[in-house]
Amino acid sequence: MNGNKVFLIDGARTPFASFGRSLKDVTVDKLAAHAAQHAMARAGVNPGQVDGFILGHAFQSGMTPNTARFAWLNAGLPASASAYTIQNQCGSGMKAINEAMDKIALGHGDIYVAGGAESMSTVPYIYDGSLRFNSWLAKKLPKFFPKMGPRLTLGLLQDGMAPLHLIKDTRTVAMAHTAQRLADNYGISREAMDEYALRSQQLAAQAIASGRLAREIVPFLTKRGVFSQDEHPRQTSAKDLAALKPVMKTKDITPGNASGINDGACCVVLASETSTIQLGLKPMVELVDHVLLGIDPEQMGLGPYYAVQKLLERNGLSAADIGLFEVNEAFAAQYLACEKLLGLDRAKVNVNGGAIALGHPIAASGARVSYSVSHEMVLRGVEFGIATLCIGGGLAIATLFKNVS
Amino acid sequence: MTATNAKTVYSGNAVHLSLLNNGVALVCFDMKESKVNLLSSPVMAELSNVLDQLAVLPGVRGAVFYSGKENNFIAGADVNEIAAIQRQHKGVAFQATQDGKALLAKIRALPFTTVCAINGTSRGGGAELPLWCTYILMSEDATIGYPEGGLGFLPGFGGNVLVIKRCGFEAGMPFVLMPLKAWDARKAWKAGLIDEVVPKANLLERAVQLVLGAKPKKAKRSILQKSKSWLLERTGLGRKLLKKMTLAGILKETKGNYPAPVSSLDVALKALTLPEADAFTYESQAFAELCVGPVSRNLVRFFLTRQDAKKTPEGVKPDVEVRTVGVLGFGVMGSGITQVVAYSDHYKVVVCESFPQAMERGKTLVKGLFDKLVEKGKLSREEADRRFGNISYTDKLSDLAQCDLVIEAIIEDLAKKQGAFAQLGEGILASNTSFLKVSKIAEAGKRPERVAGLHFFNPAHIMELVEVIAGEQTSAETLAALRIFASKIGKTVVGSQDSPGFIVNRILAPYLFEAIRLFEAGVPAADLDKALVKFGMKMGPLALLDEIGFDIAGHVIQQMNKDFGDRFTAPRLLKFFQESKLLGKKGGKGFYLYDQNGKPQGLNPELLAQQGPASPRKFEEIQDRLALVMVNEAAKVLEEGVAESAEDIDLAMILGTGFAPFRGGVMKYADATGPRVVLQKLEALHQVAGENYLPAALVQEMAASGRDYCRK
Repeated sequence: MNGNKVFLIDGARTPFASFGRSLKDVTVDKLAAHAAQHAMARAGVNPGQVDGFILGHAFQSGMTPNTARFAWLNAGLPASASAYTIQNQCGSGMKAINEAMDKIALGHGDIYVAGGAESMSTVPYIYDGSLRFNSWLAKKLPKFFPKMGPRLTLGLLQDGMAPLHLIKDTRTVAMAHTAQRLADNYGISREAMDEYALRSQQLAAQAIASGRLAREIVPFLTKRGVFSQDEHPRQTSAKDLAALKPVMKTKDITPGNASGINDGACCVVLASETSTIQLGLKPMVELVDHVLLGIDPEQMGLGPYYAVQKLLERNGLSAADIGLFEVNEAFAAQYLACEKLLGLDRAKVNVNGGAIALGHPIAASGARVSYSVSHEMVLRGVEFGIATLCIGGGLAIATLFKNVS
Repeated sequence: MTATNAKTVYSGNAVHLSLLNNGVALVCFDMKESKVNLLSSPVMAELSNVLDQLAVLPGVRGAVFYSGKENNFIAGADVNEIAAIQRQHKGVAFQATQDGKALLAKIRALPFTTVCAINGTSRGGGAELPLWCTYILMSEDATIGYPEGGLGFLPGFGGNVLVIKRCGFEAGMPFVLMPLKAWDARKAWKAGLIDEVVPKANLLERAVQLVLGAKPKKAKRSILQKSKSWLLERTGLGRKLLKKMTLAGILKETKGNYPAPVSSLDVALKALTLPEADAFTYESQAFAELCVGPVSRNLVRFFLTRQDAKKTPEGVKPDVEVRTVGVLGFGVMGSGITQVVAYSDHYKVVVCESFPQAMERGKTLVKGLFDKLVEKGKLSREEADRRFGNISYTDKLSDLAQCDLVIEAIIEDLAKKQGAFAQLGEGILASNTSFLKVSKIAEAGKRPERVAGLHFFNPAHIMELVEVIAGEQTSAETLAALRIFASKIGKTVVGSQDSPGFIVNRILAPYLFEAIRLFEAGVPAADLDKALVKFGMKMGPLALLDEIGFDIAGHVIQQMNKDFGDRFTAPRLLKFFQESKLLGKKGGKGFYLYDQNGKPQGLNPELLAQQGPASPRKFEEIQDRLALVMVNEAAKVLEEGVAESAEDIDLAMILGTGFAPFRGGVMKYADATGPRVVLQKLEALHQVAGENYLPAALVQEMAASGRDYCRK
């Protein structure tokens, strides 16, 4: 990528909570502000120095406009940082980081806070707004009803996470079917999926026990006490996983070999080379390049294959040059298909477990894989690392990192 | 307090455990190399260890907790440790208080009677520990209190909950809510907080009796009182009423700017309804929320910088040891200074005043100040008379020649000051001038390196701040001597360079000046004052102008006009004040009318006639305009090097002008707003409000870099 060099200084994330559990009553802006404030504190950056806050947020759950701006101001941070919110489903958090990268590279500011936040527990129930004009009542009272502005409306509510008309739409919501399709196409067995899922759980358990994940996390104080550890990982076995029933009328996709529904936020601080020197910041990695591309929505899980390939090609690298990968585990089947196509060495991938174990708070995941791979690169002294995610709707995103610590 | 014939079981750095023959264990707090006992984390760890030992010690019938210090039980937690917690996430604060509670709960879990014998000041954590004991005794002169509110949080070691459990909501809530005034033993006994008041000599003996089975003489509560509390505390409606009334009182006091008392109230109500363990958790939650919040962080920072400012300067040794202090001029300032120095009891004071009338008036003033202290019970009659006796009087300047330090507080006239300095001796000469150049005055002194400014604030006996001003030739030794002197008389020192208005008046002048201009432009006086009180100032700018007096304000603005040019061109209204001889509060008329006792009686109609057509503004706009003009001036003070650091400016503004302490001071306010937002707002204000808003170079520089003004 041309332009100024961009560095990731440090970051922070909340522990990821399971759906309806530890963070069930915490609004998304609080999660985002927590991650952003502690990321800045760890990076040694003043909020007043920040040029912008870019936040991925996939399911509008805050019931506020511009989640990023609201979270920033509500935390009492200086109004001088710009702020906007990115909606790119599972890619939101990484897209936010990539946006910040581009801005700094182009010289549009020096310090950005970027990341993603998702509170799936608080995704609102929704009601089609056009019923203001098209409903039976609106037609009966044309003089009165359509002219009213925003108001409370009673009626049939839908779950904002999966509205009825989309619940079977494999291009947007019904992702399990896309995973099943990959399994069928690439000959991935249920056993292989479960085996991979077990690996994710085991590695996550190790990373929790060793304190490796605690390096990323800043505990969150809730009404029920200090929430300090990801709560989605569970103790399981090949036998337990095999006993699970497939979901959504698929053959092999079970809750055990798919990612979870979670709450959490992760933010990182990015800075230009000049400000890194001026302020004496200690960068972890350089952000070298990024890719966002579109593929067939029906096979959205293959996204990382295309995105990583393009990223390597553009930077004159091969998969062997990359010391560490974070490939988001939307589904075990989806990961395994990518592994096969890219010829990945599993020992270098998702070394601390992935979304199957840790959970997948949609927009936060993209930021988590970026931050996590940066940490691991520093710890292992690896030169290049890549983080990548598949995105519902047939998109894929990937970022290339270079160790500078 | 010591206990003889006790067998030592454990003796650590701060906690000691011994056992009497009759089976009474004694836990003594006595921190090595410290005047007071603190509940710092090493002490807590030691206490935990001692409690564990105590629990398994054979033959123990009960335990007494007491202090080995003369007049101090436990002074509270270590504020530096709290500051360290504040730099981390909320969970750390929560865990720290939960751990503290778990530790103190060990006292309650002991299988025998425990008695806490409080022999002196007992604050914060030191006022919470006793609540975990079976009985609390206090010596007659001991005091107990929670200063936590003053630091922006609430008692976190169970204190908030246990006080309510021990003496009920009505008696306990005022105790939890008072941040500044501690309770004496009798008051605490009447409220049911402690069980008995004992003469100091018998304290330990009585405590041992209680352990051995005696019953304490508790304050009695009438049936009427009991049934009233039952109705209020045990019924939903009663609790609603309590909440409503207490909350109204709190909001009136805090203007909604301090969250701690509101949380305290919440915790107290939870203490009435929730099971104890849940109430404790709730208390820790509330503590954590408050502790890492901006208000508490600002208040803790203020506390620590104030503490630092009181420390004796390191490195430089003063070359004059001050024993006798001369005060030249016995006007309002002179008499205030005289009283403060005489009251401190560290120095002899010689007052020189050539006008007999002024001398008499001054004596009455000083006498009156001492009498007031006696009235308030802060000083005995004999002690007041003795300290008043530290002062001697003369009308001859030559009598001040032997003084080690002379503080000059005569009329603000360069020639007269120089005349006086020329006749004085070789000791340190300090001028209390507010706006003359100290270096100019120094030229007349025999030893200019021993001349400095020592700027007290009116009223000198109350205002804690003193600016020490270094003239061009003032030596470091002289400045050190003045710093030591000021802290010995109980003042907090901020150093300033010899620049017009020094720090406080320089920053305050544009604020008052712009307030007058806003008033002229038709902003209602009541709105101006209300907006700034809501912002957190002790009083609004117009009320403050009345307090200062228009004669003095006029002088200052004229002087600023001379020094800084057109941006301080005297407002039209000021001329009107001078022509119509409106003096402010002391003349009974200013922006407001005042009765004989100085109580405001509504707006002054004469001034209303001088005001332009009414043009009300939003409070936020008024606040921005008046607060940011201070920020801009403070930035200039900082960039010119008049003040050494942003921390000094903040300390000076809070202590010298009552700038909202919860905002941490002018510069901290700028940081919270954000350096870039400050610049943007100033640029906008510059368009409409003139040269005082032209962003200072430092404001521009900070905005460019985004750095914070404050380092701490």
